[in-house]
Amino acid sequence: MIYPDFTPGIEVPVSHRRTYRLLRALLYTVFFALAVAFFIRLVYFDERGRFDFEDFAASRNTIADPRYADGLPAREGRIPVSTPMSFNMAAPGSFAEVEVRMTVADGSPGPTTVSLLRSYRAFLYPEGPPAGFRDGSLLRIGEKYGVVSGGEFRPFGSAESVRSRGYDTGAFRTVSEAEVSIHPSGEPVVAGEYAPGMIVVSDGSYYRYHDGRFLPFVSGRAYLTSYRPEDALSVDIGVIRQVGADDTMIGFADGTLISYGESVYAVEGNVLRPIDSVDTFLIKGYDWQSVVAATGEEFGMYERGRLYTRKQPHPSGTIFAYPEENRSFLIDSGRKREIRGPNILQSYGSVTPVVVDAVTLRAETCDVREGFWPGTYRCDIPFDRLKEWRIPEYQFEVVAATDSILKNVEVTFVRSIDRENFALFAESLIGRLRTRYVGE
Amino acid sequence: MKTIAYKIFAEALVLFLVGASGYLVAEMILPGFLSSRIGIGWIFIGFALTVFPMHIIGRGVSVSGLERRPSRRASVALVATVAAIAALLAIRDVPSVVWVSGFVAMISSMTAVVVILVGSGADRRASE
Repeated sequence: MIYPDFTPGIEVPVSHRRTYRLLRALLYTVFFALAVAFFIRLVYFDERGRFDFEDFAASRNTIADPRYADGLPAREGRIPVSTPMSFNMAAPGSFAEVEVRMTVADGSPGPTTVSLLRSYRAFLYPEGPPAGFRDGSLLRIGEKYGVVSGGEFRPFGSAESVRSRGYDTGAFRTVSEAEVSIHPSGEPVVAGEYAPGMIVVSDGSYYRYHDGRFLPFVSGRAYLTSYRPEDALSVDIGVIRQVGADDTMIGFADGTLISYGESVYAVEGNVLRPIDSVDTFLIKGYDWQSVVAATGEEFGMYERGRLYTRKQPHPSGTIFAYPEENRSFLIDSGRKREIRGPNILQSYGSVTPVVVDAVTLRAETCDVREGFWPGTYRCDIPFDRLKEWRIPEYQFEVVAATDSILKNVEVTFVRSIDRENFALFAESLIGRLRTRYVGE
Repeated sequence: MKTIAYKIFAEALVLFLVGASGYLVAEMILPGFLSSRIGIGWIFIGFALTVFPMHIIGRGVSVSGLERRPSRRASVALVATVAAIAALLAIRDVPSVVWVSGFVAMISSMTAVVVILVGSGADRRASE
């Protein structure tokens, strides 16, 4: 007997043994076929997303933020004519096609088209004004010296007046006229004045002047994520005492990734956003080498923000780089601001950029048709033209010719069986094992 | 034929439990990795597809030479287990430790049900 008899206590009559053997062979064939099918499903699993408009806030809604162009949430699933609904989903890997299934409310007509854009959601933010230097940056154009304060470029005057303030003229970053022109011109900094944003250092501690007080940086290396050492004016501790130092500390630059314990966090203002999983970290395009291990003091100064999952866009402070055209962008409070100028880019150098492989993004569209069941609609979006890019996030846009109300929407990224996806599975498995058991 | 069907379903149940245990071990090694790709609902389907037919056609089958008569206790245990699994599946937003403990309890109760199903009738007849 090839297979062990699991049920020796149940005897099969001799006359039925041939039938039993046949059925048993069939059972084992089905079992192994199922095992193979489950293995394929495990390795080449489809990425599925769903949103139920009747339970808008449910955590099981894996599609992110259905909304209109103005950013307002599409709470009731309504798609008014000429007001498309957008939503996002992350799906790493390569796919054969994307299936979109929608169920509409009773009596509602279906939408007409669905288009798909392959891009990070934050990279699709509306474009804001170009990004400039941080407040406190010391700049020089020819013989003109100044500091960025409140977003303005405020001149110090001559080299002599700079030196009389205690600065070394070599500390000023030489920049182009075009880079400085991003900042409106402000009033000259008068002798003895501390302009908002100015940086000082005393006894090895760095401070930024703000609202008549000095705010201390939590550590030297937190300071170095925003400024160069030479941006700080060396002052006596008596100056700090005289002006007064605040208890509120300044931490790492926005967009910095820090680790503490087993978790990795993204810095956004005075809040730490805990990244929920290794998958999210990789989907967002981050690099493990860029994570800074924080000390207890550095970690303790922050408030804990909401979980940073794959559904959330990149936080403020994220830098997107498009190396092919040498362009970079800063994400800042829901806007995408281009960084124009090598010196400005250098001033954000502490944040490792997330690389994008296209700036002009291409969309694929499909026409919606009725599904098998009443009230259901579907459309399949070909993936061929989207394959050449690598960004694992997508934005959908649903358009209706007549007012339509969705009850739910389901999206399936049908994974193609290829080497890339097998490598992705192996990488994910090994990464998780290492994170869990090796602690890397 | 009834005996053959019972024996086939019993073996299918054993194979299913081997697979389900493998799933459990993988889930304990890397919580969430497997269940995020192959939903835990498959365990429920596999269990239902093997244990219900076995329970229904089992009456009167000879086990170790004795006629099997599934007890009411076995039926209650089966229904309770199925209800517990359904409840576990319905509650998705729980920490992974609760999931793993619930899963351990699920496999244990499934194994207990199998023991009761296969053995109870014969044991009862033997003791009479």
